[in-house]
Amino acid sequence: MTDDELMERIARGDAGAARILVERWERPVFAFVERMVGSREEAQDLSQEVFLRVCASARRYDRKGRFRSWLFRIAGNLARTSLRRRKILRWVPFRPEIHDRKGGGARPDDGVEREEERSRVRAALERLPARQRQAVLLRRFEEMSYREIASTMKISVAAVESLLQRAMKALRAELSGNGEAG
Amino acid sequence: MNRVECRRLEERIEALLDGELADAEQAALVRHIGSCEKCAAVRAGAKRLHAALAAEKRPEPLRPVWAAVGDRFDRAIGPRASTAFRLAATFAAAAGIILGLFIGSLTGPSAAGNEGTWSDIGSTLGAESGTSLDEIYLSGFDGESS
Ligand SMILES: [Zn+2]
Repeated sequence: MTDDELMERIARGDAGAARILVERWERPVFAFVERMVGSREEAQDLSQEVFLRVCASARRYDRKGRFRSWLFRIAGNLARTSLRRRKILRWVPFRPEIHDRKGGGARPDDGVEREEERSRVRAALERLPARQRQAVLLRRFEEMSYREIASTMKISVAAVESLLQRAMKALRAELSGNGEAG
Repeated sequence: MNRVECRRLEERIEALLDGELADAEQAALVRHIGSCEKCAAVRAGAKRLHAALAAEKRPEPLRPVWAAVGDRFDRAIGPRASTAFRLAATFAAAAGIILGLFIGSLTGPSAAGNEGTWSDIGSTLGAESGTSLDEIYLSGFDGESS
């Protein structure tokens, strides 16, 4: 069943269709949101919120054939809102290991889910401005075309190329610049 | 070495590797890279970055997302899933509130721990009110037995 067909069923209140859709998309959505906000716990909450909004908007859904773009727009908007709400400045890297433990008290899955050492490229990715990071994630991990990224982020194709070009140049510099030192 | 073409490549290397350029421009840049060591190095660096990103481990959900979404699906989807069912649910919820208030008036503070549930019903009146109704019944009886 296509995403559009599932959306039609969800609009009629079909929870089974919603479950299929969630299970089809939860992993890419979670990965995207996690890489946007840098926290697994927060990404879990945000992923749930993404799909609740998908369900809540099912009756108004009219983007036939462009479900993924619509889905990742919701995910991107929620992630960026969350970043703004936490007053994370563009150039300040987010520290998930601090944030996730802020609540105090060990979570039962603390040992299993402990943040592993971030790779250098991952750390550099986290330092990018949110919109640049969003474009990189959609391109490199979701493998969207520039056109689809443009539709997802509601910007022009030229603006997508510009975001990607600046982001990747910064990442290249980090990768080669720190290569010998680290 | 051609300065104009070098700058052009620096500006469009990602689009080139992503296959987003028009054929003519792509051919021109590829030709230039073949004769320019500096631009060949830029391309090699860009490819290395792509490979490094591709090697990143994908973060996986801590828990199945559906577990939480399913619990709130009826509320998310809102009213009108089925008009007849909704009318019945609304009526049952209203009856439950009245019954709850009645039990509450009999048992006093001990049954008052469910204000959250009542306001939930008041705000959604959705398909989930069946569950909330159960909670009111159970808490009412708990109040009486304790
Ligand atoms: Zn050159």
